Amino acid sequence: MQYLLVKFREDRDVVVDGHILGVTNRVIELEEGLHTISLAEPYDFMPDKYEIPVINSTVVNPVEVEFN
Amino acid sequence: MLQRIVLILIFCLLSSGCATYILNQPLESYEPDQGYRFPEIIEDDSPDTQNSDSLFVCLAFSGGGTRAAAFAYGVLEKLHKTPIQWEGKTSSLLDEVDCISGISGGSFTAAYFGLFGKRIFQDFRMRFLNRDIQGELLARALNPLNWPRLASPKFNRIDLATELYNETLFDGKTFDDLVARGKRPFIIINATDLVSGQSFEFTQNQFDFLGSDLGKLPVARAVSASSAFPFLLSPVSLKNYTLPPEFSTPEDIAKGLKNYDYNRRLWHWAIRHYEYLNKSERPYIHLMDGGLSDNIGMRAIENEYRRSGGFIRQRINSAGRKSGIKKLVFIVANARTESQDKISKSDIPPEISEVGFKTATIALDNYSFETIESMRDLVNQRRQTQDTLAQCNRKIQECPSVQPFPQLSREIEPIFIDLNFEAHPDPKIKKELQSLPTSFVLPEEAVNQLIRAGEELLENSDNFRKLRQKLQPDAPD
Repeated sequence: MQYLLVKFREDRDVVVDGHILGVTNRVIELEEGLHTISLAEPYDFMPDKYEIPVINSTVVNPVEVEFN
Repeated sequence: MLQRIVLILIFCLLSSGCATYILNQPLESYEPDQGYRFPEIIEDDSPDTQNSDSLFVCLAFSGGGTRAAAFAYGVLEKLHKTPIQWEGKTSSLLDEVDCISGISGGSFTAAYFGLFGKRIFQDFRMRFLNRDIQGELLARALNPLNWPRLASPKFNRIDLATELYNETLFDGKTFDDLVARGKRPFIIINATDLVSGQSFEFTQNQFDFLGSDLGKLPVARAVSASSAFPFLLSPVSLKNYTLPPEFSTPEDIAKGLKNYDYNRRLWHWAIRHYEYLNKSERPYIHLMDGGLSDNIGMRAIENEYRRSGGFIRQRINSAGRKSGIKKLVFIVANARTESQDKISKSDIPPEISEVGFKTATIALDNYSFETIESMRDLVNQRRQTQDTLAQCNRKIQECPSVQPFPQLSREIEPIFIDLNFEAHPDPKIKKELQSLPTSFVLPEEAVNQLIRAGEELLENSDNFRKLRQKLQPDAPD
């Protein structure tokens, strides 16, 4: 399994491949691979999504993305 | 006399022409939240809400005919007899079972429990385990009244099996009846797609790709497919319909198709679904015994654990919401037997029949072994990940100027319990269990022994004992 950290100014549900999968600012465990990462409503963040490979991560060194 | 024979022949021909298998029905509209899918917890005061998300229990019932069905029944009975206290509620561990994945013989027990709940402890022995299902099937096949129907290319032995199970075991219930129960456990009945060789699950998520409404299908049809043992029974056929216009490929599967270079396992899972969208190439799907692709039933559960859209994965990662897992328990009831080694005692090379049997079963046995170990590895990995993070953060606390690592969305306690005859403490009983055949008729004493084995092996499992200790009604919450 791989690890993803989505940084955002507040706690918000994280949407991975169309499904709510964890929250911002906490490490999300997910399957290795290319994933689409976004946030739940309201749509007050930029960019609207990331499409990134989540690979070669560990729980103390997760893949990081940030929404503003 | 001749006139009478001609009339009978005409009647037979007409009858055979009409006989056809139960056809799955088309989907009227695509509604991704409707149909037979994993049920969400309904927050109300009804007794059904005893089943929480926080204590999440999944069972896998292997194939193996009546042997597997009875062994799985023993496990259910033991869970039923295990009182627990969880989040202030007293119930039994059986009340907390959230999903059951069943293969072949194991699918009978899983489906019956899904449809009828605890009634299984009143009548399942009489209605299934102690019956000569094989003999009844043979009697139907030999009944001259069925011969005209069996002469039809669209009616076969498997259709007689469906009728038998539908009439005498599942009372004509369909998947809509499972939906109407509106409660867990979610039952996953697994078969094998004869063309792709991959597992096929009787869930609406799978049927969406066939443009078909699973709800109308008798549960007996799914169980027939799951237990359609090659050569003895014929495949179950499904029609692959044109999709409703509003259908769109779920995002996780669309994303999976882009994963050839990143995660071949995920890509393969997505392709497996996507191939059903090629309606012109595959207008019909033919299914056989689920044991051909996974004789344990664990792969369906593993997919729900790994995939971003999986109902287990979502609950592992959910934070700060009502639904979320704290304890995750997997129990595998594996009714595998060890065939007697006669080959090694002879200096003459084995006969072709023996080689043929070994060729067919060695790969399956190895795959089953790897299926169980793969899930055990996932559980251990999760535990190690949590331990690593906790240890790192404890070290960091010694340096006040350093920020701790972010927490996981949720900390869970994963538990894996693997039950098989190999672990039976009594060598004599172990040998007897391992010599039981794969068939749909067993002596009553053998059925009783299997049920006891299911209970005893669970009782003897270290992980189960620890779990029970933590959940016992007088344990500190």
